[in-house]
Amino acid sequence: MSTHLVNTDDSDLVETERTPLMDAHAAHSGKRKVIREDYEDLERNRQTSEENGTVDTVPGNRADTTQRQSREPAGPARRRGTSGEHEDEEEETLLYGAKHVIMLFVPVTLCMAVVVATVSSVTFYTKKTGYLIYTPFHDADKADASTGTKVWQSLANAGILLAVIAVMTIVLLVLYKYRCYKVIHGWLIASSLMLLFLFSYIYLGVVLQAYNVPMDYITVALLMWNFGVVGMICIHWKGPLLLQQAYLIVISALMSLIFIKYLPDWTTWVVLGVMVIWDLVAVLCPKGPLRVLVETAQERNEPIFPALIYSSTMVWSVVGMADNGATPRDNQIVTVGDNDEDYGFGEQRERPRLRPDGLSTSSTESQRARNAVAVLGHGEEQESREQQPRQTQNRRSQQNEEDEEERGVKLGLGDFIFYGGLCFTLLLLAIFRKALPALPISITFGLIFNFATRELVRPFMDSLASEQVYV
Amino acid sequence: MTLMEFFGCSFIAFGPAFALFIFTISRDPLRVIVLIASAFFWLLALLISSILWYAVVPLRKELAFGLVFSVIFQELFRYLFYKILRKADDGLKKVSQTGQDMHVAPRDMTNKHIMSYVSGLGYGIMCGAFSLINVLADMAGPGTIGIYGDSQYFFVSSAVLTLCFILLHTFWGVIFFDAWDQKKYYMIGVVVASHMLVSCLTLLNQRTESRPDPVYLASIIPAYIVMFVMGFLAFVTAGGTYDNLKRSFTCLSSRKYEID
Amino acid sequence: MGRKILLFHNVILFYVGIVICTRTSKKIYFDVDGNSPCFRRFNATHQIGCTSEENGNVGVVHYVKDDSDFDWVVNNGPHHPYVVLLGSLEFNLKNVTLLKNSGRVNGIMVIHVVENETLTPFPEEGFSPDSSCPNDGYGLYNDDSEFGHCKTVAWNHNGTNLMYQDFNIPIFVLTNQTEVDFLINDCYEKFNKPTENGTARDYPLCAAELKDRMSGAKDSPTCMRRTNVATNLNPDTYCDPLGDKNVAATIKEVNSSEPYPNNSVIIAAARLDSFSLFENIYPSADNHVTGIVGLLAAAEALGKMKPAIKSKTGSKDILFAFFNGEAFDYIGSSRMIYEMEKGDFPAKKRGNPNELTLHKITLDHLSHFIEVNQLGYRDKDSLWIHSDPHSRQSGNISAEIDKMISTIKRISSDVGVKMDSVGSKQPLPPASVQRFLMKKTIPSIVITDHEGHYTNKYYNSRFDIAREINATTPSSNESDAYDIISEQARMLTKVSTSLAGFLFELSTGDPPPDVLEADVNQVNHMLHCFLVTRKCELFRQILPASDMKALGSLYLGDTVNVTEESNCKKSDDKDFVYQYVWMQGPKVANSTTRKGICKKTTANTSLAKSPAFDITDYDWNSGKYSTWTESSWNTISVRIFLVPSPRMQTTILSCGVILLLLSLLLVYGCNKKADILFSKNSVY
Repeated sequence: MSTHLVNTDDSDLVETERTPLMDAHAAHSGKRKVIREDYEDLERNRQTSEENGTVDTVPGNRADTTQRQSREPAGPARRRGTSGEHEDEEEETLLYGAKHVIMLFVPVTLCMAVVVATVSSVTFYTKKTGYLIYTPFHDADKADASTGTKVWQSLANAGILLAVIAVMTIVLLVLYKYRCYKVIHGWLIASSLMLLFLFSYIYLGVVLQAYNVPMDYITVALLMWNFGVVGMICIHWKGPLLLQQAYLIVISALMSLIFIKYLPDWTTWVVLGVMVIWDLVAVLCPKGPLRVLVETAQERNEPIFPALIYSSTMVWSVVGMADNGATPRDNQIVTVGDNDEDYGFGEQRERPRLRPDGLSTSSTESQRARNAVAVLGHGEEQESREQQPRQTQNRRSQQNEEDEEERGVKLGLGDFIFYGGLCFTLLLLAIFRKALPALPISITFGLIFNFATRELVRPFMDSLASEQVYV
Repeated sequence: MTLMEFFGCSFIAFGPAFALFIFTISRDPLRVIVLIASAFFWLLALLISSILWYAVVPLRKELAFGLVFSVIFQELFRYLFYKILRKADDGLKKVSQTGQDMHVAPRDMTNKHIMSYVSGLGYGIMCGAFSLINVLADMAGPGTIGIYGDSQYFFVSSAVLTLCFILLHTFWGVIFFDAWDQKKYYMIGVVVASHMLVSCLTLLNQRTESRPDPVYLASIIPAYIVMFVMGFLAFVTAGGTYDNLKRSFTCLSSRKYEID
Repeated sequence: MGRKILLFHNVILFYVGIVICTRTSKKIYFDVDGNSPCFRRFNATHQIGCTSEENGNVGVVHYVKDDSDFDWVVNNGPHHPYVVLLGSLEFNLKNVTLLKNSGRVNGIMVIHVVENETLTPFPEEGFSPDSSCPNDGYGLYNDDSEFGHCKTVAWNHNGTNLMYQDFNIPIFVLTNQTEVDFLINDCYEKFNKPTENGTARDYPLCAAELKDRMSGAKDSPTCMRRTNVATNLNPDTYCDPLGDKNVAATIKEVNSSEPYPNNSVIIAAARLDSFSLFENIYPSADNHVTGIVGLLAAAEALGKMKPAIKSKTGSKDILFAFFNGEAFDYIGSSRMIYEMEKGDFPAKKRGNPNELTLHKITLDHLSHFIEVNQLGYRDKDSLWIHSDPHSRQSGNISAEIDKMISTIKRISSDVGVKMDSVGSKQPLPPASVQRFLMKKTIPSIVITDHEGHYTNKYYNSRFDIAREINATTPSSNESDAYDIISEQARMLTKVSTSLAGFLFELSTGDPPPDVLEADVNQVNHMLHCFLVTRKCELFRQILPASDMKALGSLYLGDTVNVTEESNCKKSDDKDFVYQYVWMQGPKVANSTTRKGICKKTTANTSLAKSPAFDITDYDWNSGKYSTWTESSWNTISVRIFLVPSPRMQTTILSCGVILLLLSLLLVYGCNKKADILFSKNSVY
């Protein structure tokens, strides 16, 4: 295979290499420069530099901040120069979208694997010993709870949780608006500290206990210190990419586990649904907090905190991908969020990433690591997005755990639905060439399938499998 | 521990599918997408058949009923997926062709067969996973089947049949899509009929009053015969000939083309 | 996780239906639900009991019936480790030690289907897993040169000490006839039983998995430390102190504002608990349901006499006390004494002096102590009155004891019950009163059914069942069986009547009136409910309450005239004297509805937890208080299944690996040659 680079200078290549997944939409004009011919090579480079993983997928979207600037002016010209027809962009978009969806698979799967393995072997996380203070109603978890109770209590819990998240977001927004960066930083650092030390200590404890492994405190202290400090460095400063990705996976998994343990069963489901709506509101409403945040950052022409930008990214990644086709010049794809602005929604969110100075190229990786902070800083929000597929899966295995009947885990159905929905959305995208929200579709499918599977598909498949009848 | 049995059966059932996935699918994002989307469609078909099975309470014990409708739904959804794939085809094709610019792929290679192969494999993998995963999960424990008099070949035969179905779905995918493209409607009939036949044959695996020991060979041998026939048909459909086969063995081609 | 021992705390159980599912695992595993494990427990220095490995112990099932089977399992059988199925007679210390020490046995299952006497013969010579000197080391005669360590009488002469062994393998009893039959016929006989000529059977073999992993280890101090260690952020425990609730009620209901002179309280006590080697299999018929029922019936009779006792000036109060956890070194009684010493009995002091409570009872208030132990197997048709030889060193006390003995003898002979006193040189049998006598010399007697060693040959064992004490009735129909008076009930009623009369006379100084009589129906109902089925009418009547306190309230409390549960509460906020207990009550005649009862009572529960766990820096080795804890656990299960032959497994695995490698090769090749293979394509 050829490894030549076509029409690409070195700096561009380097930048593109670092382009995180979630940026697909945002980075489109930059990406556009990198035409088909390089695609494969970029691929390879990316793989060799091991960048095709987590970081991108999780909070994403900032790494190319630096690149944006340099690319922006060159982009359209280059693109026109190579492919010449703008329809191509759609296909590129699709291909990039496909690429990125697949890049999502690895980290999400890994994270799910961690969670599922933990949940099915460690009973600690499936036992309800307490609940989050935000979810005061737990009668629904009792065996004899009526459907009515379940519904209203889950709704109430989810509502409270949503309110908490909304308030947090607004507090964050206010802090940002009044430039209390130190407070925000402190917040992020504090939460990452807690996750990296406290939660992982609990995790270590229960895992050791579950597997009946004795360990002395000196070893534990050494382990925890190294794990936590390296994690803090990776997340807030810099570190090898692979390590950063690993930390992100670990952190996401820990968060999921905490939520599995402390959220009432049924609430988890409703929270999923509610979060979809909250996402739509926060990002799309003219006065939605996240949107305001982005706009503020944009006005200031400064980088936005990863925690803040993150929440708007993932849900709309596919939309963004679609938006990529809609350049100001060529507005054939209607974007959901595109209203009175004269640029596509995707670009709105690119702007903040334009940085006058930016970090040096060498520190882009640590920026990506900083994205990890998003996971921490926006615990609940992160939960709502990153965790959604996982939670689907987790809940499933949790039920398995609880129910002796279901000792075997239906491996991967939860994440499969998520992928399935995502892929299906992509296909729909290819058909309709229209902006489609990926995550809501995924989650909807996930929810439908989860319940349908539990009630309908499982008994059917179980009786088929146990009779060895194949369909 | 029956871990060896567990791994043995997993390898038997999913080894070939794994190999196919690794070498032909995993490196192309579009194929992964299509694979998963088609698997997703199989799941939809399963959901519909489950609903039907569940709704018709009196026939819930009669697996034959659920089976027949499940086969019909699967083929319906295969058709639906075909339609959707063809709808998305413009997009996909361009992507794929643009994608081929960068490495010297054979121009005469159509992506239609590839996509039908990929979607067939997706169907098969999902079908196999759903048929066997739970059995596998139960298999990992300390015990094996038989305390109630079930055959001790239960697991092996399940694995072997799962393998058969994965491959069958792959072949059916190729034949079926091509049949619609070429308007060779009798081939569609062949696919549906053979699917129905093989599925119904597996009903013989049930233990009944009159048949306490299932004769697995009675279902496995015909199923594999059908599989080889379908494999041959698919091979031919995809453009394979005896000459090609011979050539590929003899000629150590200097051109190193790959499917992808 | 950790459940506590203790018997009568939750009297009523309900079952939830199980969903049927046709999963493959249902075809692989036969779940033995009627099982009961032996748990691991700790004291200050040792661990006792059983545990399995983390994932359960698996072994090929072998039904051991005779010596050749033992030989097979211990020496010859090729398929070890084995899980041994033992009959009830074969399960004894010698055989278990033999099996365990062979290193070839991974677990033991013991058949215990009480309904089936052929399958589960009761050992004629008796069986008790307890030691021959129960509660040694925590009683009055600990290290006593004359009476210590049961020198005079080995009370529990059948004691095997099986309970106090550390087994390290799981031991279960199986209680369900069908499941045991399946295990013997469809598992052992069909797959495992060696052929006629003594050769082993071929695979597949039938195996069992026993799972009861105990998370605690070593001893109580260690596992309590682990549980409480500050760095243990996981709220799970490693072990829990044994214990439950004591129940106590007074007749005179003296509140904290009233005078309550010293030496004015008679304690009438019984023990609530017993144990066996296996969790939840402590039928406790003789030991101590007979004692509990005897005392409760006396309380019921005396409850009707409350006005007479209260109105009599100078009458003594009667405190009915039911101690829990006594089998594990007197947990309940030592706790009550501990609280009495602190002034926290019957309830914790309240901060506000205006609030009325029951008057506190300290050791100084106690004047007499009557303890009722086993009453079921009457030695020489008589009950026996035991007293403490040490107490007799004081002339006053000795005279008081003799007076008590003569009084109760007189009253009981009037009723028709034979009571005799044992020699005054014989020490007390294990009894709660010993703990009181360690603190204060009180005139005390212990009424029980044995003169010397226990007449109950199944003391603290799983064989101590209702049938053995004639407390069952022949009818299989529940409503009939509930009402037919059993032999034991008749006897117990007389005993209760004498007890009630005795307590009345001891309290008031007047001879008991003729109307003071225990109700034979109540006695019969209680026996039936405690020993035969807990789903009985009496226990239904006291719903939603479901414990000893409810029974105490029912018999000793005053009925408050309200009809709604919500009104069943105190009217004065500062009044903490009474408990208000709502019960759904008996059925209204010719109707299915019930008429609720509200009881105002002094009957209340108090914690029965060894003070050792509440005293900071308690010296574990002091031997002052019980240190028993029970390990926590996760899953308890017994499953039966087949294990495949290693050869077949290897074959399958090799096939799988070969197939995988082949397909990898083939696909790789095909993929490389794809352009050639499919070169003549013209679709597009």
